[in-house]
Formats: sequence, C-alpha cells, structure tokens
Amino acid sequence: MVASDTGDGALIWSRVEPGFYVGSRGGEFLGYIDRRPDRGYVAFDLHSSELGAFDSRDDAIAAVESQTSRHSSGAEA
Amino acid sequence: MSERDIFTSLYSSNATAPMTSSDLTALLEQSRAANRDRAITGMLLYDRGRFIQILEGPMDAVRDLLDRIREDPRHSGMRVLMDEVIDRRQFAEWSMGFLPAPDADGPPPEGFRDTFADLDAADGYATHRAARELSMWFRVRSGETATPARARVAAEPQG
Repeated sequence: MVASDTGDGALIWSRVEPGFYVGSRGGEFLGYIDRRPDRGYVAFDLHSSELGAFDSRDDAIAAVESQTSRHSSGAEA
Repeated sequence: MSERDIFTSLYSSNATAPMTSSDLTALLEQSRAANRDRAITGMLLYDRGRFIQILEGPMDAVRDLLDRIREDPRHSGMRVLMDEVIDRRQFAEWSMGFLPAPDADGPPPEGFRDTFADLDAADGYATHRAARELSMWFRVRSGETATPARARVAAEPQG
C-alpha cells in the first residue's frame, strides 16, 4: 500500500529514481537514501550529512527516521 | 534584492518535437549564455519528451526568463510546480547543468510514492512535495563527486 499524502504530518517516503529515496513528514524533509555500488544504502540527513551506510534499505530508512526522532525529542544534545 | 534572497522556480513542459542530442546541446548552450548574463543558475532534465527545469536567481530575472521560456516554440504545456524564495543558491556552480532522466525499472517499492508520478498529481500538496524531492535529487546528483558518469552528461560548471 502506498503511503497517502494528505499533508497532515504523515511520514512519506518517495522514490525519485531506483536507489534514491527521500523521506519527509508534513512537507519537511527528513533526509534521503542513496544506494551506491560500493557502499550499499547510504543514509543522509536533511543537510546531506552522512548518517551511515547499510546493507538494507530498511536499515537506512530507520537511520533517517531515528535521527529525526532524536532531534525532535531533544535526546541528542 | 540581495544575493541572500534568491528566488527559485521549477517547471515541467513537453517538447513539441523529439529532441536529439544536438538539439539539447544547442538548447543548453543558448541557456548557459543567457543565464550567465542574468546571474541565473539551475538544472535541466529531459526525459522522453518532457522537460523539467529548475531556475534560481534574482526574482525579476527568473520571472522574466520564465515568461520567455513559456513562449519558446520548442515546448508546450508549461506548468510551474514550485516557486519560492530560498536563503542561498542550490546550484551556484551551474549556469545550467544537465541531468539525463533517471533509469526507470517499474513502479516504486511497496509503500513508496513515485516522485515523477506525483509531479502530475491533481493534488497540489503532492505536486509541491514531489517538486521539492526532485530539487533535492538535482542538488545531490549535481554536487557529489562520486556521481556515476551517466549522471553528469553534458554538465558544465559555471565559469
């Protein structure tokens, strides 16, 4: 099922091209994932700072989503 | 307007006739020459008859250029999908970079939206989000040094 996009703050992941995915919530970018031949799925935050390289896309997605959770909860001083 | 207040606009349109490589080269050369004179930067994507272009620069210069582009007989159906003031240029090094269309391999994975499909969505919110996603993709593909060669075809940094 494709995530609905009603602009109400729902988490949205979109594919721009195979291997390049952008995450957003309520119109605000969370970060993106770029699959690279030599490194796997590389996760980046909103400012293109690397969050890590992962073997699976799901793990890269979790990295993007968790860093935004940490920021929003204030856990990352 | 100061350099800190940069206006950006992203539009899509349809070529009135198929564009050959030499057609695109001529278009890019014309675009780059004009943009240098007007302090406009940006990126162009061409995919099977469809143009997607992002422009940035002083607001008046960008809007004047959009008016001229709208009259260009090489395309029709121009739709401005995003325009807004930004803090700084995203494509400062590119008088007009060019990216080939992304490889298509069917629908996106389960649970993912398709940016290019959402560009054509009737829902304005989805279209705007997709335009911003495409802008992000443009920026990453134009700026990274490790980009595969296929993503840098005909790209030319601004002198």
